[in-house]
Amino acid sequence: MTLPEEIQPLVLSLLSLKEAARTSLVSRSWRKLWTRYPNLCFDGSKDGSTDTDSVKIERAKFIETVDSIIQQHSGMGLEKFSVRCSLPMDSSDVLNRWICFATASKAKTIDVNLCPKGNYVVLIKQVHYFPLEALGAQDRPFIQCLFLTSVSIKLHSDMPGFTKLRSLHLHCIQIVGDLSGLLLSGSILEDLELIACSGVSDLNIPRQLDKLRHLLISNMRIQMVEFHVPNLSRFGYKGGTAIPIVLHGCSKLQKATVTFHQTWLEEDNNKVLGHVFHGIPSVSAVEVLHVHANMRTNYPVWSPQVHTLATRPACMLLNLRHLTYEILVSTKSPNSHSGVLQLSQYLAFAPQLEALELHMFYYLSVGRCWRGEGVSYCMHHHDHLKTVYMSGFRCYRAQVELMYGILGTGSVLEQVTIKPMVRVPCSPESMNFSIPRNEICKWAHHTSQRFGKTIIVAERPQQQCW
Amino acid sequence: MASAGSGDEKAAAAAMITLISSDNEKFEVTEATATLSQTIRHMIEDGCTDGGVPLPNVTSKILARVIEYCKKHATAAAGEEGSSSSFSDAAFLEVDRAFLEELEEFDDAFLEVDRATLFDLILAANYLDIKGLLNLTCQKVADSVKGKTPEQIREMYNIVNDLTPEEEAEIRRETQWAFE
Repeated sequence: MTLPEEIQPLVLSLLSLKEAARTSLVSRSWRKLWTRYPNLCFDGSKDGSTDTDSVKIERAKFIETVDSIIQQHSGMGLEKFSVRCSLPMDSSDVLNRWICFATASKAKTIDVNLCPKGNYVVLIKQVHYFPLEALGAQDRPFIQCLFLTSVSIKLHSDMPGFTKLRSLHLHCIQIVGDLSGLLLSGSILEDLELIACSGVSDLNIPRQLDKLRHLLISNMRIQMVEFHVPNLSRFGYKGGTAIPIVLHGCSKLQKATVTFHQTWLEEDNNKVLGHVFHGIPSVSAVEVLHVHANMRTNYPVWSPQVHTLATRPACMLLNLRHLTYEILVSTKSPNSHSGVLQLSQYLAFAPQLEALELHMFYYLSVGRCWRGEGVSYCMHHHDHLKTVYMSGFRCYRAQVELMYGILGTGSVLEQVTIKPMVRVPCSPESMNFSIPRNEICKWAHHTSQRFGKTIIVAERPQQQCW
Repeated sequence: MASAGSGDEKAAAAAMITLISSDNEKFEVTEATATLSQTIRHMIEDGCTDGGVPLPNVTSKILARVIEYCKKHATAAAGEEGSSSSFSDAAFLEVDRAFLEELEEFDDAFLEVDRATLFDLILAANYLDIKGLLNLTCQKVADSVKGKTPEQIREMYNIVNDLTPEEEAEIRRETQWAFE
C-alpha cells in the first residue's frame, strides 16, 4: 500500500518540523518533501516553550541552525515564520536575512520575539530594527498576522502591503512615526494588541475600523485613546485612570477586561473601583466585565457617607450580566477600609446583572473579623442576580456590609458562596495561613438564618487551616 | 443529541442536496451536512446543484462514510453555535464536554478502517475540501509515521530506498539539526 503522492505533504505537515525533516532519509522522492513544511517556528529561549510547534534550538547554535534550515526550505507553502530568541546587537543583518526569507516566501504569519523572557517591564535601550518596509516591497500583500516583541519599527503615513492584515500585536516596540497609517491601511484588521510600546503619545484613530473585534491596550504611556469600532466584541485595558478612553459606536461589546492602577498621588482610593462606571461610558453595552483594581490606603477612615456616591456614574451598564472584580487592598486597617462596600452602589447601575464574582486580597493585613453589628444599606433591588461568589472573604466590615446589602435586596438569589481563601493570582501563599475559619463559618451560619438564604462556605481543597 | 439552534436546522433540513457517487449511487443529504464540504458549499452558492452533484472521484462506499462523518459533525457545528454563550456557565460546559467526548469517540470509531479505505477517505476529503475530515484522517497516517525509522516507514508504505550512501550522508549532514 503506497501513500498517495498528493497526501504526502499533508501528512508531513502534521508531524513536527524535526520529524518531517527526518523523513528525508526515506527515499529520493521523500527527500524534498519537508522543504514545503508550512510552519517554521524557532525557539532559542531558555524557558520552557509553551508553543509545541516550535523547534527548540540551543542558543549558541541558533543563528547557524535557522540559517541552514531556511536555506534548505523551498519557501513554498510557508504559512508561518516565527523566531523567539534574543539576538546579539551586532547581528542586525541576521534578522534582515530571515525577514527577507519570510517575506519572499509570503508567510501569512510572522512572529518575531527578541525578548522571549516575557518581561515587558524591563526597558531595553537598544533593540533590533525590524524592517517593516520589506513586507510592503512584495508584488502583492500577503501578511495576515504580524506579532512583534522587543524590536523597533519605523512607520510612514502610507504603508503599502498591509491590506490583508487581520491581526497585529506589538509588544514592547519602539515606534517611530505614526501608528495610524499602519492601522488604517489594513481596513480588515480584526485583532489589535498594543502592550508597553514607546513612541506613541496618543492613540487617536480617526477612521472607522469596521472589522476590529478585539482590542487590547496595556501599559501604554499615552494621553488618550479614541477609536471608531462598531463591531468590537472584546476590549482590554490596563493603565491609569487619568486618560480618556473613547470607543465610538461599540454597541456589540461582549467582554471587557480593565485593570486600573492607582497612582500614588490619587487621594480618592475608591476611584479605581468605580472608574469603569464613571470614566468609560463607551463600554456601557458590555455583557461580561472583569475589573482589576488596586487600592492603597494606609490609615483609612470609615466614612459615614460610604453608602452614597460622590458623583453619579456617567452610564448604566444595561446589558451587563456577569461582573467580576479582582480587588487588591493595601491597608493597615482592613476594617476601616470601606472601598469594597462602594460596589453596593455601583451594582444599581447594572440592573440586568446575573452573576457577581469578587476576588479580594487585603495586603499587609493582620486583620481580624469585624464583630460589629453591620448595617445593611438600602440598596437597589436586584431582580436578576442569581449567583454571588466572593473569595478572600474574611468578614471584614466592608465585606460583611456588602453581603448584607446583597442578601437583603437580591430577590432571586440562588447561590451565595464565600471562600476565605485568597484566589487572586500571584498572591503569596502566606495570605492563606491562619484563616479564622471557625469565626467565618459561624458568621455565615448566623447570616444565613437572618436572611433566610444559604451561604456556602467553600472549603479548602486539601487540609484545613483553623 | 438534541442540540440548540434547531430552528436553523429545520430551515436547512428543507433544502436537500443529491450527491452522486462515481458508481452512480444517489445520496440525499441536508444542506447543513453537505456544506461541511467547501467544494459543495461553493457549488450551492453558485446555484449549480439542481439535478444532483456528480462526484466522479468518490465511490459510493467512500461517499457513504464521508456523509456519515458530515452528518455527525454538522450537528456538532450547530451545537457549537447554539452554545456560544459569553457565560462560563458550568452547566453549559458540562453539556459541551459530554458532547465533545461523544464526538471524539465517534471519530475514533470512524478511523477503524483498513489502510486502503483510509487513503481513499483522505483523497475524498481533499477533493471535497472537508477540513475536519482531512485533518482527522491525515493525523492517523501521521501518527503511524511518528517516531519510526526511515526503514520502518519504507516497509510500511512499500517504498524502495533509492538513496545512494553518499546522498544519505549528505542528507544527514544537511539536516543534522533534526537528529539532535
